Amino acid sequence: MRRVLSRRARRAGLNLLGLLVALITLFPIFWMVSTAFKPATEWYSLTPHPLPAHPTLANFRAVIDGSVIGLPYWNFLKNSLFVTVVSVVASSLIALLAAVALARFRFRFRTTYLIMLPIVQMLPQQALVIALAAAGRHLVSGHVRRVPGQRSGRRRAARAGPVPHWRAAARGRGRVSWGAAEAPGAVTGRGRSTGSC
Amino acid sequence: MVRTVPGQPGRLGSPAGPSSGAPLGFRQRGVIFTRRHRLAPYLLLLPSAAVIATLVLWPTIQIAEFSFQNYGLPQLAGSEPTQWVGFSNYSHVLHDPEFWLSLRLSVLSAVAMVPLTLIVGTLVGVLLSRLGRKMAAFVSSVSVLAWATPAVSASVIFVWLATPDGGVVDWFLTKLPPWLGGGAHWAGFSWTNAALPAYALATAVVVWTGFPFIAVSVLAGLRTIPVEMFESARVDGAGPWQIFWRVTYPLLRPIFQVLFLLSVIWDFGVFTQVFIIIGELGQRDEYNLGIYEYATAFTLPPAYGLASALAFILTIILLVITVGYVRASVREGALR
Repeated sequence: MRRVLSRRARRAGLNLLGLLVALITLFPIFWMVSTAFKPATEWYSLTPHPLPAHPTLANFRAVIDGSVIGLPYWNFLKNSLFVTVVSVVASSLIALLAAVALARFRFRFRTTYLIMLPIVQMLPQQALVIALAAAGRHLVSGHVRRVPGQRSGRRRAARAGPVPHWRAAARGRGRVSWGAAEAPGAVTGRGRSTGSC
Repeated sequence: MVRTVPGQPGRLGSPAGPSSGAPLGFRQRGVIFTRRHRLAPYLLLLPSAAVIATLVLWPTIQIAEFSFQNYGLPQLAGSEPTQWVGFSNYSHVLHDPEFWLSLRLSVLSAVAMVPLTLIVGTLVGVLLSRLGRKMAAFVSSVSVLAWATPAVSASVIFVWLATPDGGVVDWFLTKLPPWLGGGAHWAGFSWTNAALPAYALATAVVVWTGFPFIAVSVLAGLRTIPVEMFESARVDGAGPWQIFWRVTYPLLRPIFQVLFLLSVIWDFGVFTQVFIIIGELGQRDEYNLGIYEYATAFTLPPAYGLASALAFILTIILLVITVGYVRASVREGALR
């Protein structure tokens, strides 16, 4: 009898611990979702309220129609989707071929290749981005020259602010030669996943 | 196709040629050529090798070259010639107090992040293995939610939670009893204005997004250990602490080694979280190595040569750690 009881107590204790872990893990996400539905007047308060008193969809509307940054949400979604789709498709195909080679064949440089993969994966992105940015500028500069004249005014305006000029350039380029600007990014993004085959 | 690859001669998979008459098509001849010289694996590896060469090897060679040059915007545009400057970029970096400050922050933050992530992850992994089916499914799916949160979103959420004007963290700390370190002095405390609190916050973000991976890996390892092992240890009178260190840890040592080295590599090179928490490039005394290098390369005037020297130093540090990782994986048999 006592053993059954102690087993139940332990079970309850473990479940309680599990709940605690889940709650702590969920809290930041919960707070993000809750704040998303709060009107501006409720964002800051000396005693935080877990739930919005007057839930609103205004924040979502503002994000989608672009009154926050000046560009509509779809613009950013489009960029992310492009990079994701291109990099997932390209890296899956390339990784599939490499995986077949490594799994099905025994050949001379197999071990060398296998050892090289994790090393390649671990190289810091910030290091590689210098060379890729330099190359990207060369690549993109051709497309930029094709951008109609009046756009350069916008580019100059964007550059006037306190933003690094490479970012201003990217922003000013934004809509016009979008594909050109994104292409190196997509390819760069997938450099990491080559090893994960 | 040029035969650069040494094919192994002899032992043909198929007869060398047609024994009778009809001329072969281009495709058939290609197949026979590939078979005869055992080219299939090399052809399959060709795309990935090409990608690695153009996106990893070539840039690495480039930054190695830049690091010995005075490469900047004029050189990129071609309006001024590139000059070789020897080791002056490196000596500039090594004499720069900011480099040592950022290196110190990188090392110290990894020293905080790695053990915390590993300990929390292992504890949750062990807990998951002891929970009932439904509860385990619930806790692990919640953890995956944290793991799947992009680094940018996670950092923004945590900055928001810890904002000095009415953030939950400061509010909670003022409500905490004084013997737990709480008190009114936490009201309006800024977590992003100095290096120590900023990196404490970054550590929280890294642990929050990083522990689920450790937990799931440890859980997967625990599933491979037969239950009898734990039962016999228990019968012999071992407590949970002893069982972990005498049974679980020795059996899972290869997994822990790989997880440790992966965490070191990730946390030493942590960029996004810190970049957002310190307010992009706002305060130079809060830079870690990656951000210092990024700032050198991408704020005006960009000093690609100097940044490449920094990048190369960072690469070599990570490479040394990676060699440890590769050795551990070879020992574990992952590369067989």
